[in-house]
Amino acid sequence: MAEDLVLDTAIRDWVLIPLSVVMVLIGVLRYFVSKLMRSSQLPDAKALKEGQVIIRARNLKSGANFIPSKSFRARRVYFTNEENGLLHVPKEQAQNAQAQMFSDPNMAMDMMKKNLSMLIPQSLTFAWVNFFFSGFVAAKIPFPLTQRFRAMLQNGIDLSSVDVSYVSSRSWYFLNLFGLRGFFSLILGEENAMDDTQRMMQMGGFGFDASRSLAAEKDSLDIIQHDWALPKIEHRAEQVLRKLLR
Amino acid sequence: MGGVGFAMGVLGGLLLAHAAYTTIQYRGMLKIVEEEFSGPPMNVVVELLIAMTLCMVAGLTVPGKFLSILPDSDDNRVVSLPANLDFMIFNHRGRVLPSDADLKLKK
Amino acid sequence: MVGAAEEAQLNRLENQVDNGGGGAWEYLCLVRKLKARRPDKVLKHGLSILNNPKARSNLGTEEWTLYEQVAIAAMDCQRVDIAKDCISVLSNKFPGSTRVGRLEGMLLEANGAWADAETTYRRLLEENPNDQVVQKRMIAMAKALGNISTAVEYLNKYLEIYMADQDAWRELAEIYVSLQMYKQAAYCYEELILCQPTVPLHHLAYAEVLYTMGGLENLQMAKKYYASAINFTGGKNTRALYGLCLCSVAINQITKGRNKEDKESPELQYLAAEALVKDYKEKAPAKLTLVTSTLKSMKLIS
Repeated sequence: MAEDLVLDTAIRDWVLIPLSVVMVLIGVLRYFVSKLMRSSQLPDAKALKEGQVIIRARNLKSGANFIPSKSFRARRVYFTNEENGLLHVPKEQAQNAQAQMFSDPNMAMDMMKKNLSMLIPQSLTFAWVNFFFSGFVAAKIPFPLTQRFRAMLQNGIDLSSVDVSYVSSRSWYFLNLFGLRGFFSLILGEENAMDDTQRMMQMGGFGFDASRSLAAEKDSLDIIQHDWALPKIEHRAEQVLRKLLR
Repeated sequence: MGGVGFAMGVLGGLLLAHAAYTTIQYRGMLKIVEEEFSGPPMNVVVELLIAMTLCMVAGLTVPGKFLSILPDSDDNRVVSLPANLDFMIFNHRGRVLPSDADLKLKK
Repeated sequence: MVGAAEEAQLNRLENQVDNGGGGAWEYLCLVRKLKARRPDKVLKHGLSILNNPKARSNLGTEEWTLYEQVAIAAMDCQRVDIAKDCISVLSNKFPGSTRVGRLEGMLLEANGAWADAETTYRRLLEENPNDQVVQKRMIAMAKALGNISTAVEYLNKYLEIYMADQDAWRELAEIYVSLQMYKQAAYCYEELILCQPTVPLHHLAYAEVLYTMGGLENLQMAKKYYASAINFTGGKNTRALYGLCLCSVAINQITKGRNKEDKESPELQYLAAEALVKDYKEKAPAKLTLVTSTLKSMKLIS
């Protein structure tokens, strides 16, 4: 066991602290750059309406048993009929939606901006860390860890004899990259919660297809069985009153 | 009640820690006599059960009272809807009511 | 939704504040949270905080929320002068803000300068066509001017896009009831029930609309919804109890002479009547004889 591996204080002064400071500064810089580049686009009325239709259809689905069956059927037809139902999406339009999204220059531009503000500084800092600090053991965490954490904490050092609680500089970089979110939300305000993980989610969610979720709602509305809950509730009301009068 | 519950929770935590310590000791002893570890000794199990009960009691009493979740209970019963403030209008009959003339926003 | 416990707390705080017991800020917060409309109290106690520099600075950024709340309360009390002062403080602090713009529009409304208010709102809508609050103000303005049909038209247009907005559905339902367009009102109340299936007051309102429409089927349905209102209030809602009694009497009158149909809970109305009597006995003994004689004439109690 590599007991008492002494780290030079110069490593602390010239690797650990600069690395952390640079990470924080880059985070702040990125926040302001993305704020500058963000175009405040308004959601257009159609997207708004689709969102609202979906909410209302969900309400109908969950509360269906509380309204009389006649009203329920009327609403279902209103939502799902094949001619002009709110949830009905014409075939050709559904296919066009994707293409439209890609052809929309604004959308593509926005994507680009987001990607740029995320990707460029990230790859630059990674290259920087790799170039200058590769192979450093930069810190030691004050508690022992199991072998499984080796990949996380000692990225860039291929020595199995080093105790796992030592952290390599590249791993320190990664820890900072993902762990500074809370710190940023403290110093930059809550709206900075748009961290990397969320950005990734957004990228995955790009091409969010309203027509698909509309169709899903439509299907689930179609198969719903209406069972009016009110007669049951009437019985329950009777019990409630009996209990009250007792 | 809260103080007693808290004390019980602390006691439970201590018991848990003691159980863990005893188990480690036991395993160390097993290593010396070179036997397989098949399960914790009886007294540790009993200790764990007691600790669990104590912690459970503490968890139920310390945070506070249970609140009703029934929609028709005395507390949750809906008695009025919020005023529809987005649609409020100002030329209502309240306008003829006298208002205290002394009220004034000081600069 | 204002629960019984919350209302009790609000009233307790109001009493305490009125008697100089402190806690004005908590009271104002609760009023905001419950969306209660108590403009005179809010005006009085809000101003007492705003006029006290120390108390005001204790609020931090909440100060501006309070200015807004007091401004609206002042307009509601027709104290345009106070509202104007509050809004000018806000517009100095947040120049060009939409929220302050809305307040200015409301101030014009309170002044009765309808045309100016409309231009203000139109300008705000041009900046942000999706501003729901401003659109609602336009509707409210039409209502205030007495153009109920315009208000209905606007509301319908609004609901075509923002169809998940409960407040708007409720407003539309109330307007329809005031216009005696019960079928439409019933539709709106159904929508409200769908949004919040366990709120008894929507069930109650729906039942009332159905009862007003009349007809055997509607009456039977109304009775069921009264019953569900009773269920969700634990039988503490007097209006629902009365409604149930009236419904059963009306149904009996229609079905008199016919063969008895499938009755699901024949005793419900008697229980409701009994509950009413019990309630009056506890809370208003002076009116008890009146109630018992009325119920007796309905043959609900013996």
